[in-house]
Amino acid sequence: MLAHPHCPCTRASLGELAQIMAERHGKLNAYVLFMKPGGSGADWDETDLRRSAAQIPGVTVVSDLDGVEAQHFGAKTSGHAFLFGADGRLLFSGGITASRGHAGGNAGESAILAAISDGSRQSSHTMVFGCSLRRQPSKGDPVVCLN
Amino acid sequence: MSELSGKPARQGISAGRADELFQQHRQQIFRDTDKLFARLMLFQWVACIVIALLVSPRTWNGDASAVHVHVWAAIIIGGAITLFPVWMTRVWPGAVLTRYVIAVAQMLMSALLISLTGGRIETHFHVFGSLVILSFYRDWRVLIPATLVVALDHFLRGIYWPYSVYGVLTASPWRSIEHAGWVVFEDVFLVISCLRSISEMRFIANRTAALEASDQNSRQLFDEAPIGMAVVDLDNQRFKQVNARLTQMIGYSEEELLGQTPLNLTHPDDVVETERLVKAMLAGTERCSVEKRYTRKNGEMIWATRTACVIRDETGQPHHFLIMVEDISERKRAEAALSESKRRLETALETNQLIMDNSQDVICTIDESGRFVTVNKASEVLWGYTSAELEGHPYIEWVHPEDRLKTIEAAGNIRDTGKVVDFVNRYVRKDASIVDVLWSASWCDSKKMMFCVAHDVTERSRIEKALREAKEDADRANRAKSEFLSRMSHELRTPLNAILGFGQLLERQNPTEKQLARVHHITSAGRHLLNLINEVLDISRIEAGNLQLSVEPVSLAEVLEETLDLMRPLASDRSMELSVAPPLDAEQYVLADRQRLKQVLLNLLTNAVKYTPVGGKVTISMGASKPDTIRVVVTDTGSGIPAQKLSRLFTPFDRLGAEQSGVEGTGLGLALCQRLMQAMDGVVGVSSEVGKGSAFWIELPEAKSPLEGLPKNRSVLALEPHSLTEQKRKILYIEDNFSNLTLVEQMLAERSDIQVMTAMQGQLGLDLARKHLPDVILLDLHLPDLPGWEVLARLRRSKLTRDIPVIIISADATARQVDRLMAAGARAYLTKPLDITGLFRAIDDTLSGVNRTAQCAAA
Repeated sequence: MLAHPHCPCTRASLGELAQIMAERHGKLNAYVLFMKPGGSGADWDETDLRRSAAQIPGVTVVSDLDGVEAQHFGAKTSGHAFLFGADGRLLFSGGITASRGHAGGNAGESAILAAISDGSRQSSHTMVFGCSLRRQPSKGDPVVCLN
Repeated sequence: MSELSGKPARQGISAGRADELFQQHRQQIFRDTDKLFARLMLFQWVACIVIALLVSPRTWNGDASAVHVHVWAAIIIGGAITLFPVWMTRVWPGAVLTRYVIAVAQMLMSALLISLTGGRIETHFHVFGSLVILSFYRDWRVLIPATLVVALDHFLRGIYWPYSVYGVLTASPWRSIEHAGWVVFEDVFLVISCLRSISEMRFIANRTAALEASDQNSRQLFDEAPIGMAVVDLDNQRFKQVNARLTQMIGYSEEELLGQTPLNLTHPDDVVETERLVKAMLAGTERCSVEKRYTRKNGEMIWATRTACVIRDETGQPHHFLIMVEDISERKRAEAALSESKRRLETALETNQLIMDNSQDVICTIDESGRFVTVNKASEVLWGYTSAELEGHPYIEWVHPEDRLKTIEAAGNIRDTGKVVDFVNRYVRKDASIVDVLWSASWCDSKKMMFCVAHDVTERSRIEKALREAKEDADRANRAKSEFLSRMSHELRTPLNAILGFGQLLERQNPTEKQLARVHHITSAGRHLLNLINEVLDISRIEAGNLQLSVEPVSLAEVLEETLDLMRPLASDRSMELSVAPPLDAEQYVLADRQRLKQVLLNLLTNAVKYTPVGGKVTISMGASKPDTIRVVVTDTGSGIPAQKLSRLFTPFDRLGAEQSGVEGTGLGLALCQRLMQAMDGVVGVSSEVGKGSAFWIELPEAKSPLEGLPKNRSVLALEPHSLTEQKRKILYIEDNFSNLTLVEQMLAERSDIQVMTAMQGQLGLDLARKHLPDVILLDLHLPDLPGWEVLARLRRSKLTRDIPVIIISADATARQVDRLMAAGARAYLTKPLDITGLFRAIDDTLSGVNRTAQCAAA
């Protein structure tokens, strides 16, 4: 999951991630990459959100300096989750909350759980609700954060 | 709901008041709820901002951030939603529009919250909570705009922006319908709640109005009670509340009374008893009433009935005293007056009983059936029966049989006139003796009873009877005396008539001087005798009370002139000066009998002339010694009368030795004057000085002229002096005495115009009268065949003779006889001896038709 350490909506995404991790404990390794702009202070990404993510069992928190990884994955919005199979295939890409900041069952979560169960690729794409991960959004690039 | 109607017991004012209270309550609720919403909305606004700042203060774009749009939304939109209705609550608190705006704003705030939370379902409950709070208005109508806003918001945003209301990108319309349905569902119960609340409010308002009315009635009863009322504190015994009547009664103002205790106002003599009663009430006596005295502010004492009771609260604990004070001073005064009246009545009754028991007179009551009701002890003495025998017995049974009829008549009269006095009847006593009883009785119509006082007048009746018999004897003797005097008068006058008459004729027949002197002696002696007879008769009449007087206004000047005319010849004979000084006033009148006044004056003047030496002077003067009287004084220059003899001057037949002087007199003149003056309410008196003369005077009441008030310019009807016609007048003279007959014939012979017929019997006279119808009849009363009055009566009964004037000529000069004959129709009454001049005047007056009253030609 690519996340912005200050995005309020990402808390719901982390909550859903914690649910998935709990349900598929041991079958899944998760990484949450918190964007950190270059030149920012050491504490910039030391937020409550990052600490919450770090406390989820099976989750590894990593700093994404200047959002390079996000760009690599093509993630534009905080909370964007990617699921890769053991064979390296992308099984799922999208948001795991039903709405902005909404906790609870949602299509993204169901798709991940299903992919974990049968290793199938989930074709459905769910909306991501969160702040933009782009450092300098180019002109005309839509801001996904809808909150 | 019906039990909550709470309709006030009284319609009208109370119903109006209930509505007023209801509206006040509602308005208060509206205002309070407005305030509540004002605070709530401000709180919501602030909370919204705070939460936005806490949850999503900023939005991030990579490493760049900005204030989150939610924060701006919370501030700006939330402010827009909040401030306007809050402002309205300040400006129009309680107004309908205010709460409708609030309802809309609150629902918009719900919409904002839902939107800010991204349609989280939890925030939808804000809608339900808001509706519940809106129902605090207890006005179900505010739910309508609120519900419409919610429904519209959900439908519109559900269609166009479902994400903001449901948190989804797409939403079915049914979802909005479902949300709206829940809202309506809640509305149903809220409406029911509002209606019930309104009903309860109405119930409370009605009950409050009824309580107010009841409280007002109680207060009004207290304030306007006609007796004094007060509430007294149980602890400090001070007045807590007093009404107007009590302040008026005691004389203190309400403020003054509230600082006092009832004991302060209690009369010192009643303090101990009042304290005892207070203690008794504190010990448990619920109510007590006592008559006591209070001292007013001005020091006056009033009597009052004070009733006190303990008022308890709802737990039964004594709370205060309620005392009621009624002024009974008037009643006490009335009782005192009644007591005094009763005491007096008892005293009067005792006195009456003493009077009844000790009275020497009978005092009794008789009912309308004629039975004795009550009798006193004197009754037992009078009738000889005991009280028990008398009471209840008809009194009429003991009345003498001969007196019963008049007694019954008298008893009947009492009921008509109310009383009877001096009624005497006889009763038969128990021992059969007869007793005369004098009654005074009165009839009480309300009691239907006679109240009688009577006493024994048997002895008095005997004395009265003796007196009555004595009086009858005296009357008989008096009548005999009068008869004697009348007869003597007649018997003496008859010969005197002949003596004086023929003497006068002789004087007119040119006698010699010597004969004339002798004749003069005869006529003088005759006149003296005649005067003596007349004066004796007059005194006799006066003393018998038979003197007839005609008192009327009399011109003093006229009477004096006539008298002086008579006296002047005598005065001239004695060379005396007879004068009046000052001249007579024709307007002076006195109340007197003209003839008798003339007689008195003549007597006084005659005495003055007779007893004054020749060449003396007699003066008549008039004046007033006191108001409303006129005094006439006859002053002479005689020898005067010694003072010691003056007291004998008016004694009959006492001439004070004048009989030795040769002056003729009877000694009756002054006595007669005195009696005549007394009879005319006048006075006669004398003052005299020996050697200088005497002054005799009379005083009479002054009178007004009878001509006063008559028109001065009216024509005075003066009688023309009679002039006889040339035709001879026929005169019939009926007389049995030949001398008298002859005398009158000779007198009338001097008149050529008169023809005389004579008759010596009454019947003959009647026959001649019918045959010749004379112009005048002269009638003597003593005729041999018929009494003169019978002749007169027959003349009057006959159609032929009834209009012939009759002149009575009689020696009977008594007034009774004169009156009787005049009343029987005589035209004039002449007494013997006849005076020629008087006879001619009477005849002339009669012939000329002038009615003359009886005149006694006794000169």
